[in-house]
Amino acid sequence: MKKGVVIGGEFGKVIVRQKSDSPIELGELVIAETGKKRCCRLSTLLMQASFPSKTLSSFRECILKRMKTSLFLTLI
Amino acid sequence: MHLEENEDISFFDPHLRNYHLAILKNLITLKGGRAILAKSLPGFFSPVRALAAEDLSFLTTPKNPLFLGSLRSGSKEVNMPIYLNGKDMLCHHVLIAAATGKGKSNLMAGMLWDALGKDYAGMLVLDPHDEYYGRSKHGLKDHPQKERLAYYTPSNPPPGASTLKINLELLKPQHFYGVVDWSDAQQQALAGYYKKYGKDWIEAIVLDKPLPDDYHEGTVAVVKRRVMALLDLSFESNQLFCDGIFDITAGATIITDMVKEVSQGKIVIVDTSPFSGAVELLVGTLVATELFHFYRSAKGKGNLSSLPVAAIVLEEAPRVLGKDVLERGPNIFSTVAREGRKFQVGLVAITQLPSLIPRDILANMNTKIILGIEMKPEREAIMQSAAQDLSDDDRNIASLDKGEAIISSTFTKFAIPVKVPLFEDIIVQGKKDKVKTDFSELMR
Repeated sequence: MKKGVVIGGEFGKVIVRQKSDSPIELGELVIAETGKKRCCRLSTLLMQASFPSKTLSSFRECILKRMKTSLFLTLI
Repeated sequence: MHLEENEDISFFDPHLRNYHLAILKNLITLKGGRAILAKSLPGFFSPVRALAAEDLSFLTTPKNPLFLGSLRSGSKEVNMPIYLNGKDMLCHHVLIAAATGKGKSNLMAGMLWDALGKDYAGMLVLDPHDEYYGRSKHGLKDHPQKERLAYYTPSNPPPGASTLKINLELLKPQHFYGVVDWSDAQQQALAGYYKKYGKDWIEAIVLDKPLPDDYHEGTVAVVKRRVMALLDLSFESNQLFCDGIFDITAGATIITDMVKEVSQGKIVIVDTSPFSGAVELLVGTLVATELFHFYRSAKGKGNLSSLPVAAIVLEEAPRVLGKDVLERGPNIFSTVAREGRKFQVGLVAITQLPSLIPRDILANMNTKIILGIEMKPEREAIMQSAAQDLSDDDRNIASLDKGEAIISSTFTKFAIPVKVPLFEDIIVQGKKDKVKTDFSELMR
């Protein structure tokens, strides 16, 4: 089951973006696959911390959808 | 998203825009079925997936296996039993650290159950709660190989068990050191009595027999009072009465018997539940001292390798291994912690407060089984002396639920998360296995 993708980090602190529908628990063991299938290197990773993030860099870019009126608003 | 004005609004593509980042620690790298220490980072954009059973092919069963639990991934149990080499692990000392109710006794009972069926280790269990034998509940007495179990209790021994009576002649001054606080003068008086009267030295103290050197009469009186209180002795009409477990006639061979049983690979449980702390320590010190001397002498004779490992299970370890206790001088347990490995004698120290144990003793305990610990100073004491770098695992340890553990050992490549099975489940499984074995033998 895919759990996420490595997007950065350093030794002892690998940063993974989690797949939204399969969260990683604290203390969970997961495998990162590097390379092609036949000469694949697997890294066993232990989950240590998690925090929410977003692609939106500021409120100016935050687009909200009003469900009732279907009116798009852009916040200043 | 209902917030300020209770309006029904939401993000576009919320799964793409809002997400969780996870910080993970690289434990090991698997290459061609071999596990090597992680010395490279996983590639950028490498997919991350759940652990599968085939990834764990490197976790093989070692020689002299001791079962500790199943591999755990988060709160999920993976169907992969975790064994360590029991002989290596036990003689290099084990620390079991956990807060109350996190499963220390359950883990210990499971380890004893597994060791009872093997012949590589004998164990001496000083049981202050009388919980391992299972007088009135499930316990080690239900093991299929219970003939390898010896149980000593001071009162109402069940069938097959022995009464705990210790002959006064077996006591030596060094057994009293560390049990209660003695001044230098009092220690010298104890040694003086032993030197002059030999095995009758306790009787000499009680009967006020003279010492060759000039000891202050107050010192001698205090020594007499404390020895009599500790050993539960009384003296009336010129006659000595033994009211406790120490006796003038009975129990002359009990310590030799215990040492012999441990050296035969048996598990010896000593029920110390009715005793006060000092008497319990005296009994523990007495047996541990003789066991250590037996193994040390076996090394001198060159037959140590033919003996099983001897492990001493010690509950509430800071009582004898605490910093304040050891400041007053070493005792047999600190000696075993420092030197026992050379003589195949190990400690299994169980505690809620590892921070009270000096760092050099903690560092000598090469396997640490960490269950849930809420208190930060206790977690830090463990993390600072662990075999692997656990400096970033603080939250991980704090969040361990009942029966969840992390094993940090010099005999493992990484700190292994495990789920410890319930002891009752182990017993049920053991009985099922026995039934299966019996049935297969009938079929032959």
